[in-house]
Amino acid sequence: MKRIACWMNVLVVCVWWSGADAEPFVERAQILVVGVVSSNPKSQIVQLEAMAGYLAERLGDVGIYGGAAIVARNNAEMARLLSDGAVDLFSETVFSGLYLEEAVGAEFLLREWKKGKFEYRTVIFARSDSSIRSIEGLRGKTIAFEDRGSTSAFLLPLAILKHHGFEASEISPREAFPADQVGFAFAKKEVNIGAWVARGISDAGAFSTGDWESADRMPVPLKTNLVIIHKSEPIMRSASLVRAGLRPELKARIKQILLEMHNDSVGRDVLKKYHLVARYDEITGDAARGLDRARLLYPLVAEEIQ
Amino acid sequence: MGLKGRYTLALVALTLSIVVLLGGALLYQFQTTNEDMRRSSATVARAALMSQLEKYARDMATYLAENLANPMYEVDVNSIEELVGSAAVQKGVNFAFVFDANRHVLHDGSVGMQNYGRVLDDGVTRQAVETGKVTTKIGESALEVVAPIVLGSQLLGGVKISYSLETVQGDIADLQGTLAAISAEGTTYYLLNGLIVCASLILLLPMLSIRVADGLTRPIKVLSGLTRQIAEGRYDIEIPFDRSDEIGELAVSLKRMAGELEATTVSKDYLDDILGNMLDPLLVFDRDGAVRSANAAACRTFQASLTELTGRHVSDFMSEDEHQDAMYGFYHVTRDGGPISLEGQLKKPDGSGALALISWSAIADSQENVGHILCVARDISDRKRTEEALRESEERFRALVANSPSAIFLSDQKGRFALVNPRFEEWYGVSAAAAIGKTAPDLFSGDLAAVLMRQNLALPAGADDADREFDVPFADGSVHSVIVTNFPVLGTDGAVMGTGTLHTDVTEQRKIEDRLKQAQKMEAIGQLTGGIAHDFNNLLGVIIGNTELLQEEIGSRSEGAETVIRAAMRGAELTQRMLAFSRRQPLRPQPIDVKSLVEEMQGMLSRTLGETIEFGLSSGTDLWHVMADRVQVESSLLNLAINACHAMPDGGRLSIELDNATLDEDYVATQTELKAGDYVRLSVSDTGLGMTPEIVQHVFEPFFTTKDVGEGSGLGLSMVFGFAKQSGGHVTIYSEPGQGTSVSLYLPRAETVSKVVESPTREAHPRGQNESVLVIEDDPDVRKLSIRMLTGLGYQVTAVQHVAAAKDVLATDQVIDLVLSDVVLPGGVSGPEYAEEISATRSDLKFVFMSGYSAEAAKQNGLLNSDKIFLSKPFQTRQLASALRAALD
Repeated sequence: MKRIACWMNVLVVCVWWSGADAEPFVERAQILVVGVVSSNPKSQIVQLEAMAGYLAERLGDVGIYGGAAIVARNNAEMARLLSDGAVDLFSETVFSGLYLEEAVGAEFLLREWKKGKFEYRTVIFARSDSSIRSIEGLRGKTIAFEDRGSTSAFLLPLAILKHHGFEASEISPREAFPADQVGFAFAKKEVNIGAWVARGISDAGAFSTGDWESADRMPVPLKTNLVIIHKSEPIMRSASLVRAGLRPELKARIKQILLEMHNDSVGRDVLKKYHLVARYDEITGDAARGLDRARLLYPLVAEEIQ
Repeated sequence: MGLKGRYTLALVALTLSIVVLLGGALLYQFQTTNEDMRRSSATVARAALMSQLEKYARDMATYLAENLANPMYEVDVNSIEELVGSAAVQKGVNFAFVFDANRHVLHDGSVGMQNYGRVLDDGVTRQAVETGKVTTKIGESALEVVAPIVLGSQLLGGVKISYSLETVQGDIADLQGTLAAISAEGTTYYLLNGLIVCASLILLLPMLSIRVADGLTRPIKVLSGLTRQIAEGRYDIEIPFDRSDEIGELAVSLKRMAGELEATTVSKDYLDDILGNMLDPLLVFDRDGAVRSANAAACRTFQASLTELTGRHVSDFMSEDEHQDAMYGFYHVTRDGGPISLEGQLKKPDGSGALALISWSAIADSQENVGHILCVARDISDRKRTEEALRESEERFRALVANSPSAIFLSDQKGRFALVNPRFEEWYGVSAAAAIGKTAPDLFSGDLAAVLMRQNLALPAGADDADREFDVPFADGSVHSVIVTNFPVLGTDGAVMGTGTLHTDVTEQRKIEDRLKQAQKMEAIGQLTGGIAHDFNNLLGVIIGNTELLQEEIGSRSEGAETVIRAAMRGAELTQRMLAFSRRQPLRPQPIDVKSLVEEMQGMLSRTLGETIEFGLSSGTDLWHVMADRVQVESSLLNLAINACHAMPDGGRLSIELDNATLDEDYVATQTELKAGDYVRLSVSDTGLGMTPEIVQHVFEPFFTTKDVGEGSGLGLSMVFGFAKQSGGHVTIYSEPGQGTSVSLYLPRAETVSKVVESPTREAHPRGQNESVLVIEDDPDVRKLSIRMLTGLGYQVTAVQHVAAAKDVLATDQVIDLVLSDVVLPGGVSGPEYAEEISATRSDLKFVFMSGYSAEAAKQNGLLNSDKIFLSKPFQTRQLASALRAALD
């Protein structure tokens, strides 16, 4: 019954058959299910189906004859799906991946070059005419983040603040708070973070280095009066994970296909649709060290990742 | 040139002038108006477009300001960018800025926010920020609009949008060009059309003018032709057109004139026909009075031809006694000229006169000179006679209505009085002048108005006078019984014009009817009572007679026999009273001094009345004697006194009054069986209980009594009533409950007075001398009793039961000296009739008659002559013996 209930929670299920003359009935073990966490299934399902189809078409040798896609509403639901074995493969940010790793034993498979970038940093900035010049200067100040789902503009800077010994609590804009803490508020959009700091709504703001460099998200007239007071260590942009207990030969075969996927045109098209991923590579070297740093910071923000 | 030609030329010239002037004026006006319209249109279009643009700009700025309030408050640059960016890229927008409260640009809609931080120091922005209202400014090339962004009472900033006027100005230029093109095209079009119209008019005008001129002159030609027709004497003209203008009025006048001429213009033949067919004589005289002409009727009237009449003088035609009047009419007309009508006598050839209405009139020439005198005479003899007859008829009608004992009135269909007679005025107290034209409710109220309005001309089947009889209050306050009779009043055309009504007063008639009914009732009761008493007398006679004979036979007085005789005598006394009521008791009328009689009874009455009742007697002077039976007067007085005594159980006063009374015709007319004359009134009045009217109307009926059983026989007042009537008198009673009763006995005055002294001698029975007596009696008991009594008195007796048997006896040789006969006998022949019959051959034969009726009654009934000896049953032996001896001796 629990399994059935989990299946009922799936918002969208689409089974792609590997061939019209295939056997009319395929068991669950013969299907590769690709999942993702999103509040907008419609925007995700097509790219998931493409990825699931691409992989399933190439996994027949390991007993996979079909592909399916599942969109979970949040990390907790994804955790249940993984626990039930309903999802085999999924992409996630670092901290969410660490949450699912800790929760249900999800396994980091490959580093994912999402939107062409394999890593980024977080910058914390303040008005240039302010007295804030370092993280320590933020005591008793406010900082603007984007939203709770953002890694670069929330989880990472929050973890950094806590790592520096700050106690941070969420406040409303223009709200007073204890002088020994750092208050944070969500500006919803990156451009708003810059405007809030520029207009004095908040004392500082944080987002990724990519946003800082983007004229769209940080217009020059705003940026002119701002100054970076902290830049974090690089952090993996995104990763591909598999559920615990996935058959090793299947996992290995998936990993192999993904690593080679950017080499053929069909694979590139699927990757382009699939979150503008440029390619996958092994989590080794700096990537592995970065992941380790993230594991160190994860406990500081674990309660925020649900 | 004729009228038509002149009309045509004038019309052509006139219309051409009008066309040219009108065309020029229209062209000038058209061009001026066209230019003004083009300019006005451009101005209006510019104003409209600018107004439209300004409205649009204000709406857009207002919309943006309202939607930017939240993003401005939250510094949501992303949302601000989306809103401002969408406005900035619209067509015609130069720029769109969002600025803060310090007028520093926050966003310009561009990705790079190039204008971020720029200060807007222009007037329109400052005005909008200072006033908090949407402000616009129209410049040479742009329209700027600024809308403040407000959240509650807090000014957050504003939005400024600049619209380029290049598009609007281009549209205005296009519109002006279009209008100019339309104007030029219209001018050419209308100019061309105007030229075509003018050319057409110039071509058509002569033809139209000819046509119009022809239309104007044709009716005149027609009228001219009609005028010639009238001049030729043909008046039955027809107007071939129907117009309301002056020509039409002229035509109507012409037709009217023709009609009047036709009506007033006559020919000589026509006049001759008129005069020849006149029924009235017509003569035409000259001023000297000589006949100049006459019609056929004049010839017939005066029995002369026209030639014979011509030249005769006017005085030849007027009767001599009316001569002056006739000549007055002639000279009046000759002198004054005015017409006159006079009544006068025409002189006919046979010398007789005929009343005529003679009309004189003058025939004058154009200079008003009287040349001839016209005389028309109408014979009005018949009309005069009819008028006289009608006047006499009306006079008779008026006299009939005026002298009618009934109230008569006529009313129209609305109930308004049209005529009322004097009786109506007298009865209802309203004069004719006041009543005419009014309705009954206008004048009266209540029952009288209802009765007067009653106009049921058709009574239901079976209805009688009772249905038409009403109690109506008269003006004097009395209420009368009136029979209402309605009848329709018809006009000469037979239609109902109104209603005629007769009110007939039947009050007195009803009273007389009531009295007659009462008298008839009393008469019927009397006959019944008399019949019973008659038979009772026979029975009592048998009882008394046989009891006496029994006493003689037994030779000693028997107490039982005496009791029988007393009882029988009391019975006889009762029957006498009954006979008295029925007026069949034997009376012995004699002159009586009533006053003496009452005074003689005064002592006895006082004793009878007792000590609680005061007795009073009053008498008028020179009281007349009365002719009545003394005993009955005494008995009546005693009865009345006893009744009065009974009516006063607790005492009171009894008064006896005596006076002379003369009852005139008026009074006796209200009574029955009473003659006018002198009477003595004996009134007995008490102050006792009195009686109600219902009881009073029955008190004279026998056996009617208000006393307890055994206290009264109910025959006392009946006897008084019968005695009074039998004596030719009268009795009245008046009673008021609680006040008392007064009974008045009217006894007729004795014509001659002689002192009569009654000598009630009581001698022994005069016995017979063996004479033979023939008894004729149908009642066997009475017959048997008579035989025994006669035998006992010493007579030879032969008895038969009817006349036939008596004839048989007399036809034999048997000696009969006296016949004792009942008056009423079977077989159709009464005893007195038989006596009359037999006396022719047996004049020596004596007769004594006996009857249950009184002698008076028998006489009244024609049964008995006054000279016959008569015995009233029941009679005693003594009375029989005396009667026989009186007859035989």
